[in-house]
Amino acid sequence: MSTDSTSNESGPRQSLAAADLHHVYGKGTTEEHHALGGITFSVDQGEFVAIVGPSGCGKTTLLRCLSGLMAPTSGTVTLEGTAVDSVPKDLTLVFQDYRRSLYPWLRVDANVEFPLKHSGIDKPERVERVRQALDDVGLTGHASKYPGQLSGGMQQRVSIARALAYRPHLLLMDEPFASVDAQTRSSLEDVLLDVWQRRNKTVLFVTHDIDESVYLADRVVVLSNAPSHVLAEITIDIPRPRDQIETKATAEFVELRAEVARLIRNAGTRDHPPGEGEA
Amino acid sequence: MTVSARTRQRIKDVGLQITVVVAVLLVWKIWTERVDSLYFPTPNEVLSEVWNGWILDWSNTWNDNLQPSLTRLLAGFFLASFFAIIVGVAIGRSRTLGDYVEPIIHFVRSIPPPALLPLFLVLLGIGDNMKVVLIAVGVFPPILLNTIDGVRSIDPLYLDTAQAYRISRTRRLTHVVLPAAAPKIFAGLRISLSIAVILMVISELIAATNGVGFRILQAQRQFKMVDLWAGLVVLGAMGAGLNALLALIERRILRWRRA
Repeated sequence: MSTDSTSNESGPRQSLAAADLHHVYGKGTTEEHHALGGITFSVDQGEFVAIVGPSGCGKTTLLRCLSGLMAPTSGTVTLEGTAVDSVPKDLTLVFQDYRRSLYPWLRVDANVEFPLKHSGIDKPERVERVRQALDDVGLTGHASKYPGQLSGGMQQRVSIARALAYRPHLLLMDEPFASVDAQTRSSLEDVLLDVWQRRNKTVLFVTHDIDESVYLADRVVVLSNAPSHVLAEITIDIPRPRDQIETKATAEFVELRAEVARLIRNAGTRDHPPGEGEA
Repeated sequence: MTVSARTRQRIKDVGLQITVVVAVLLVWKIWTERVDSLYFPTPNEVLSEVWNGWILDWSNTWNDNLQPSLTRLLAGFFLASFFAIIVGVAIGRSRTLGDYVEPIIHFVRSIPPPALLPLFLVLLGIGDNMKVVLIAVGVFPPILLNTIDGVRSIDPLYLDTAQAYRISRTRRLTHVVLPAAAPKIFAGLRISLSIAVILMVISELIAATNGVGFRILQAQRQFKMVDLWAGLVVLGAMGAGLNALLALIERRILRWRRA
């Protein structure tokens, strides 16, 4: 595992880097919980990295620290070489719970436009970005509906469109497809891969679904139980474009998913009982 | 339900409502004609007084009664709403502030507002200021408490999302916190509007030279029972009209909730 990718000048430029992140909840109390135990990894620009780990391993904590929503107890996060202390402008998050992350009082287009409106982008540019983002996720024609009128999968598309229209360099995604049904999930995965490639984004995708991580990513970072650290980084060299049925039937895919699964199972039987904490 | 079925249901509902109104008027008419009491005039007499005394004499009615009453009521209502929402958002966003001031709020809220009238008479005299302040103080607590509740129950993810998009603190308040709390704020406004009507009338019964309450009191003093009843009918219509107006505004602003 490489911890020093900044010195790698000839390779692709670094997007996000975490160095020795620790986070302890309720420090000094009886409820003290050591969630992150020294996490170090980095993401290159244009890369699609997935983070997987046993449930309760602090994935959400990690994302909150990486995005600058929360300060880690110790350790540093840098985005394109600059230290992250609040949410940087070249990054945004897509949350798992789209129902509570979209604003129900705004129509679909207004939800997508909302962050742009408050960052000083002029009206014609905003309108164009909203149109393109909704088009990218296949929601053209639903612009003037309220989120409450859309299905779960469509709502999550809206929140992806909102993130795309914001045009961050890096997209952090916190189990974005965990609360939709299997079919919707597959189609959302492909929507995401499509826009990632077309719009040249960097994606850091947190999931507890091993299949999903191997199917989507260039590289899978496997976390241990809490206090979590990086157990392994597995390069997924399955060629693209990938296909939900064909790719998942290849020997490569099956082997890689087994490798990740074994790592997680072993992590899960260590010092903590599995299935705790994270919902 | 198809649109036409819904329309038909609506027509049926309105039809039933009208039937009930007509039935009540009819019972009132038959009963008052039978007892033939000075204190209970027939609906014909009352409604013709509303027509002749209030509507046909509109400019006097408006200048002497409706306009003063509405001005006091709306001034008190808006004054209280404005401050109650600001203070409510502040308290709702700050646990510490809430812990300090909540006992006081609950104490003040427990004093029935009409009981403050003697105090305000002494402090502010009998003029319009006293009436506006009385109304404002009386309608403040329900708006405040509902705003606090609404702001506290906002989903934290709404705010995380705003933060993830670097929305400034002030804009988070005006564009996320306020709309998210709006349903509960409106619940508070609805309660407050009824209280405002009550306090307006009370203040006009005690110390006034104009207003709807004053006209009702005058009718009683001159023993004009028909006028007194007509005043009550006008008061009812005024309250209902204001409520309908607020409901209309609420429906428009909270349109998304029916989506």
